[in-house]
Amino acid sequence: MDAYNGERAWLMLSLLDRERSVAPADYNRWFIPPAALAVHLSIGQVYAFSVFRNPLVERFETSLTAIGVIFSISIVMLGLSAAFGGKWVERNGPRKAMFFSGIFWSAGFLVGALGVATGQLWLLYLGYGFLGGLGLGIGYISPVSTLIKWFPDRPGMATGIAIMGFGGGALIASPLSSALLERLGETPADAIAPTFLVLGAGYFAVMMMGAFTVRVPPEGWTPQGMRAAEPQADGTPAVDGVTVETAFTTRQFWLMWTVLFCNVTAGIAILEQASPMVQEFFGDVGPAEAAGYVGFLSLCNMLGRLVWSSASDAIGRKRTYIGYLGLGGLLYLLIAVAGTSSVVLFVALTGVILSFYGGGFSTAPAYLKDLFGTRNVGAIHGRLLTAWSLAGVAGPMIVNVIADIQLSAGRDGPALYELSLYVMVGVMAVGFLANTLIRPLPASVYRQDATRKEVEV
Amino acid sequence: MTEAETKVRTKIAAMVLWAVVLVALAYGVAQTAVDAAALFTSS
Repeated sequence: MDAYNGERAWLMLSLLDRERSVAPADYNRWFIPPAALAVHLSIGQVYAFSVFRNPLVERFETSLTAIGVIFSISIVMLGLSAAFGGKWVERNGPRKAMFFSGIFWSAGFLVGALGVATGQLWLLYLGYGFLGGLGLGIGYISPVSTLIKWFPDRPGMATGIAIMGFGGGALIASPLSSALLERLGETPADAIAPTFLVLGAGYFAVMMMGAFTVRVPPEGWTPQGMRAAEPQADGTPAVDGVTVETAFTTRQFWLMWTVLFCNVTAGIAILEQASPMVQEFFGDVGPAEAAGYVGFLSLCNMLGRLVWSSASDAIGRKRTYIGYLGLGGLLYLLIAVAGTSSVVLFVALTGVILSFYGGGFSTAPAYLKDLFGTRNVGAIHGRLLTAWSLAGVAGPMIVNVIADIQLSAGRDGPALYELSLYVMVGVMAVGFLANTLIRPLPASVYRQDATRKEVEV
Repeated sequence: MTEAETKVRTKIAAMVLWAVVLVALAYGVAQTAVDAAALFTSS
């Protein structure tokens, strides 16, 4: 009986192998985006974690900082697992990656629920923070690289679809979690554990549907109407990408890293401070309107991910980033100079900025594909996401430190944020410069790398 | 299971998943739009 069960488990795991998920040549590639979206919509919940902050503070009778650590651990683990797990993801294929992402992500909720039920905060750090963060990193990069491989003719649209899901995940999780917290206990604090259990089970089911629906294209597959890459002049097969190690040592990678770091630093600074900022700028805006403003920014963030990244297929990746950073920088300047003149102007300007912020995330993997080829784009993207982790610390820190200094100098209202806005103009200018310095990778790098093009074990 | 049957099952699974993700997205967008409306109706 044990041998039988062992054999079944082995068979089950072998279903996850990359070889078992290769699609037939006539497979409809439009069957792949829902699998990618299933994973990104699930893990995007992390952006709605703030819904649990106050109930958790009440449940553990602790500070906001102690609860905030849970979110910080998960974001740090996202960056680390994407950076170090990227090669594993490319080697083992999206099905196994999505499967383990689903296991880690839901296990995070289950261990977190246990922590809430037993009053052990460290179990939340371990569960939602550490395990959930592992699921986040693996789950973030695998659908992106898979869609790029299925849509080599429209990589911007492909990455836009997947990464839009991450933004959309928060839009779904926020109202859903609030509704569950209201219904599953006498108080929101009592309802946290059952809410975590429901979310963990729900996300597990959806992510497994994604994992078992996803396919990789057969070797050498190209969409109709797109020519396969030509063999090289010396007769060796076409090279469709450099290794992550080679990419990591190029100037192009670090310029791209700088571009993403600057775009995220500036955008996240606004996103994180959106609610207090709009209330400081306009005295007649209260907490309810400010919450609506945050929702509006989230919508802009999500739509920017799809719209601008898809547009980059037509206008080019470099020009698109010129828009994000150049026009974005001008918009920051406009807010600093004339932001207080009208609520509508302020909301419109920050909405466009947040759409550029989202677009910057989703256009990055397509830009990487243009620079370094398709084969290892997931692993290279994973390394690039360390820029996000650092920017997630830098952006809010700049704004908070400056606001504290202004407060201690006796200032209030918009004056708390004006200097930060000028700093962000500078940050965008640095990103703009880095983008203009990006050049295509010389063909010699591809040739030198050809012998290492397989993902190394 | 024949190859034809596998193809049909795959197609159904993908279409069900499309429906699930689109309904979920529509729910999220609608709920957020209702919240966001508070900003515009008050200003």
